[in-house]
Amino acid sequence: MSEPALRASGIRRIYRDTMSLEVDELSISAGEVLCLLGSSGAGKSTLLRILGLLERADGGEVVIGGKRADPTNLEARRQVSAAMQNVVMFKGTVDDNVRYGLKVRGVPKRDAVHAVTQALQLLELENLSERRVGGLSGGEAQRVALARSIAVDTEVLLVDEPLAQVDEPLRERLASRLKQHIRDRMVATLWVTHDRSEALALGDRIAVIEDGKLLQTGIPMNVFSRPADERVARLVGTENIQQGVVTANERGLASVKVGDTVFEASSNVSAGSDVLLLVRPEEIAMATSEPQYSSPRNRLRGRVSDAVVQGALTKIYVEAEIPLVAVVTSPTYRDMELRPGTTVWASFKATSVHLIRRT
Amino acid sequence: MIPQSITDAIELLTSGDPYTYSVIWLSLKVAFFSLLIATIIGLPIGVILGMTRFAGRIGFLIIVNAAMGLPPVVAGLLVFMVLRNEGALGPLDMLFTPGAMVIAQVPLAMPLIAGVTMAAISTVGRPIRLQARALGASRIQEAMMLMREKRASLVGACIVGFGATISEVGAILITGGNLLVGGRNYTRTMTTAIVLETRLGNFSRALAFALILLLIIVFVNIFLTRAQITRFET
Repeated sequence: MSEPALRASGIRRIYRDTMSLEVDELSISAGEVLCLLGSSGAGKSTLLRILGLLERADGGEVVIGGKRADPTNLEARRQVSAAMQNVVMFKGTVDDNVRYGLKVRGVPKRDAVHAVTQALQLLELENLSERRVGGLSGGEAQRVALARSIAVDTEVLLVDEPLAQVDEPLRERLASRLKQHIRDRMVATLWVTHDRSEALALGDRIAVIEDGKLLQTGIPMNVFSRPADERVARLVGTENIQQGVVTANERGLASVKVGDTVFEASSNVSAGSDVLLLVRPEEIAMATSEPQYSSPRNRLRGRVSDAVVQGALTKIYVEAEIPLVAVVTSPTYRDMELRPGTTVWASFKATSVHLIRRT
Repeated sequence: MIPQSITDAIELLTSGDPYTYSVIWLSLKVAFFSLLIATIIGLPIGVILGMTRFAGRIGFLIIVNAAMGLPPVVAGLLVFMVLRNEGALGPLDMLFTPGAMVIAQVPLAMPLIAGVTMAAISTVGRPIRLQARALGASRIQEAMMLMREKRASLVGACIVGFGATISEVGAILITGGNLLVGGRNYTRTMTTAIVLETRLGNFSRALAFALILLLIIVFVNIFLTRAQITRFET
């Protein structure tokens, strides 16, 4: 197996005598996007600075292109480029800013012009190239910061919430283009975000970080549907989490008692185990009359307590034997008239239930 | 007396008097070279103190800050001691030359330039320095970027340094001697000429030199301040 473009192991960071960052192993291959997902203060930006050789860790090593790298090693630092969360512009024009990384590397002028033009085109900034940075909006400045990091064409790219201030639909368009660019140029990319939909859309893999520790790393669908623990579950948006006990397990079909209700789950967790029962909101089907011929093994009758429209999707809060949160498309919400007080049947498959053993 | 001195000043400037022009020219030359050397030394010191943290930095800061208050006559005396025949640099035979005056003014302007530069550079936030490094800047390139970011303040440092050198009298009087050699100006500047003319009771001529000095200071500052605002602040 080939060496990943970026590998970090045993990374430790101590802040005021407390371990603030503890990452045992993290690697990114060429052309791969690893989304680092975590809430504010989880340690995402600190990890990015350490991986970007901008800060020294208190322990562990960072290996870039197969060689151990150090913040004092300029050659190693120039294999990485980073766009920080706090967007700072250097005085001058957009073009001056995007050119900066090429200038410090001594790239010949003709090549630099070509690289700057490409980066500006990628981020849809061609018309702003001569604009002084003082007049840029937050979203434009963020795109310039990203263009600046991409123009240098490094083996490793680290970006911290790079499109957070960019408005839709441009944000989605740029994200898609960037991912293509990263694949084409085989850039190993760490994309720091707290936005799980962005992580799901962009990440070839996702690493979930909380309280300075990597809790789970894997392909997005696995992390989202099979979170390793409750903290990961909450971070990836699993809002239906209940404590229960496995009462029986027959050939991988577990019966889980939650309060007075028994649910069925596809799981190998043995009978007698205390578990957390997790169901993602989008796995729950809603009906306003009792389904006669439905395959899901789990079905609950309840009443809509609230409905929150979130653009194309609407979140439905249901009071049933256990409280449930489901997601339907907004047209479905309108068609089904899922107003508060409406009686509904919520159903989900045994395979949609994920069990986590409680310790 | 002041209206008379204004008339005298205009007459001195318009008459083409070689003595007057040589005094003005030497003043500018000494101030320029003192400022140049002080900038070459003070700017890097200010940048290093502003952007790095190292053991003993506080000691350097105290020295720079204290040196800003160095009395010109003390600087002049110390340079005199070093340049006199028995001094460490006596063989260079520089005492009572414009070169000695330049050397005496450097320790007066240099701490001012270093201090203003340090204050300006240390206000640049960590994020901008991190971003420069994140784009592959070496330490020197990072320092150059910081200087570019704060170039308006660095011009300000030069304005402060120029003010200190062009208006200084104590140090250059001791090391230059305010000499005319063979009727030709050798080490007389506007400030030392003002001292001399005042002592001789030629108040009108002293005031005329003072007005010329003030005019030069104002013109140089107009030029530098315009550059500071229009070219470097944006």
